[in-house]
Amino acid sequence: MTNMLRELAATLLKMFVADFWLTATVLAVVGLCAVGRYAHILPPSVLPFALATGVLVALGLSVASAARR
Amino acid sequence: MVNWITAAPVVAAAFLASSVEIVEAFTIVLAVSVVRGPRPAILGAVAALAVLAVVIALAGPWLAKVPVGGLQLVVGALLLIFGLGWLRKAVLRRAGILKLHDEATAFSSETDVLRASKLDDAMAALAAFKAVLLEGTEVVFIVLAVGARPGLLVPAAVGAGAACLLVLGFGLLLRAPLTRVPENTLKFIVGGLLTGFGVFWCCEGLGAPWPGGDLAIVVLIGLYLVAGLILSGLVRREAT
Repeated sequence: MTNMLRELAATLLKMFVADFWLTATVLAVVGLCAVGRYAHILPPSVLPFALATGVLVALGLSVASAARR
Repeated sequence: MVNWITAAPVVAAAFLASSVEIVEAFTIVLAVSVVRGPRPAILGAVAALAVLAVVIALAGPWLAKVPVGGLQLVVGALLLIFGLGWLRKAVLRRAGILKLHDEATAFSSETDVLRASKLDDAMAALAAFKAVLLEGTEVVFIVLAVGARPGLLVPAAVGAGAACLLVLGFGLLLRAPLTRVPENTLKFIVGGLLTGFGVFWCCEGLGAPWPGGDLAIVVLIGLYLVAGLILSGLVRREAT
């Protein structure tokens, strides 16, 4: 039972932290957009494009760094 | 009334993502069935499905009480992380940097492990239970996440249910691991779909809707799929 719970926890962790830096970058991008939105720095009309671009950059960086390893 | 511009990608995402997970669970359940017979394999799988049904029954009403905006932001961020993980892995596999997943190899190594461990029926049922529970947890998350807007949970569940019926139907017909399922292509497409939904849900959660409304989901999915193709091409060229 303990083993199974441990494996379930590992599966959940693997689902969301398959690559630590990708997860951290995505959370940073979403966090920055949220802060920008609520601090009225990022207008609602710009936010979607900022988020979409940030996610694209996160993917590119993660793939490039994995390719270099 | 369900808007089909939104519902169609939801059904597709739930169907394709669930197919990948169910194929993986089926491979292990089949290995258990080959080693110890179908009874413990079916018992274990059905017990895991019952546990998952209880989880859904408990989570559903609770999620319904969470404000939609907050839920979409959290679920959108989780979908982004999960979807980008799949897209990244699929891009690296397409580029030849990571090895492709092979269902036949997974089946034979699982069968070898089960034979070597000389399981009794209870342990065999537990192995099937664990496989279905672990893969099923991912299916439940995907269904709840892509259906994170009133009216979309049913299309998501329909997509996952159809995948379940199709994979199990083919699996029972062939009684062999489903090696012809193009796992990496599916993961690539699902990665793009989940990432597109993740960005869209996050923006809705932050109160910054996309111009073009729900049609933007389709554009976002296309954007991430094209980006994935370009990235895998660039990385492959660099690697050779």
